[in-house]
Amino acid sequence: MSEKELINKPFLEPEKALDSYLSTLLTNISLETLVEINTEAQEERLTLPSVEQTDAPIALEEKEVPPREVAVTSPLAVMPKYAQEEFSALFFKVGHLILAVPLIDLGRTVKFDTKLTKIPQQPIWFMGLKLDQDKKIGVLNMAYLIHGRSKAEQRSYVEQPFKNIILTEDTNWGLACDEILSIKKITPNQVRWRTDRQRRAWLVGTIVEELVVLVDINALVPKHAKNK
Amino acid sequence: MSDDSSQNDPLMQWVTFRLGEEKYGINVMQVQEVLRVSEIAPVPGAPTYVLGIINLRGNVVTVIDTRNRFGLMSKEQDDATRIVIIETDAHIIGIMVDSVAEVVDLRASEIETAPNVGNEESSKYIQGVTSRDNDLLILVDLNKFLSDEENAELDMF
Repeated sequence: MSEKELINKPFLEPEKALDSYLSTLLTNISLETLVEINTEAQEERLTLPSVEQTDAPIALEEKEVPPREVAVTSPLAVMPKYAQEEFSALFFKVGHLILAVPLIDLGRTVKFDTKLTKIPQQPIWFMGLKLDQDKKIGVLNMAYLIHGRSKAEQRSYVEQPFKNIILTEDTNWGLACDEILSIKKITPNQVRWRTDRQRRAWLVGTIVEELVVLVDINALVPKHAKNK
Repeated sequence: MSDDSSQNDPLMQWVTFRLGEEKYGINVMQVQEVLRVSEIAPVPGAPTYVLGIINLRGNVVTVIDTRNRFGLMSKEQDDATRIVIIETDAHIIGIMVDSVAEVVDLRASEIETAPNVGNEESSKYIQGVTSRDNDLLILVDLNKFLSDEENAELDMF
């Protein structure tokens, strides 16, 4: 390949680098020990109809075939509704990892300042109940939900307790985190939106400039979790 | 409150006890008595949630390790430790608790469903939760405290 060809070749490495970076930050979660993360998408299997073999000639009929609609995945199709225009996102930390959540997705934030009431025989990532304004909020350990058990267990939650809780839109659930950092305005083109959210449905995209993952906290709550 | 509202929203009494840092409530109608810990005879081959048996005025009563049942670390018995003798649909059993606190009145409307993120079986004996004095009280359904298989196992003692 000539030098000129090399220069004109589309430069794909940054995309790969971003994927690699994200994969390192968010280690694969072994969900059998964790949760069934929310995901609308289900694998569809296509089965071909069985065809009976016959020696008889097949009569071909000319039929007017309607033009086939080709599904084009535009960036807008994979973007959440809020991302049609500029939106505000709250930046926060879980351990050393900085994440962002669109303000529209969250109820509010509260301090992790009181003892939680633990319900017996619940998974380790369910930290307990917090009574807040006469409402019982189920508090989940965000480190477990994001990183998975092995990485989350490397931390002592007694020595380094969480300091804040981000409440979901319906305020039934709270996701425990460390620092609440800041609120920033984000334009849709600043985000690299994930086109396939069958796995880690909560990972909406990446704010490219900051290399910060944008999360859907409502999707972090396990689908089968009930708090009404 | 009128008779009508009392019928629609009955008042129930709950005996509360402590286990670890949490406070639990059980229906007072199912509590027969509360005992100080006496000699508990271990039963060879018993499941881990069974501490052993006691002789209660000539009757053999199985004592359940409630901490084990609730997935808590075991704790040394002390002066506050009690065995609550309860009557379930299937048995009369004793449940060992860290301490017995008080009897509280609760209306049915004050009881909320407890959140559950595990499977349905994991805490089916949690009847609900209620807030009292800026704290949450976890209400236990004693009839679901042990499964049918576990109740059958107790019959063998």
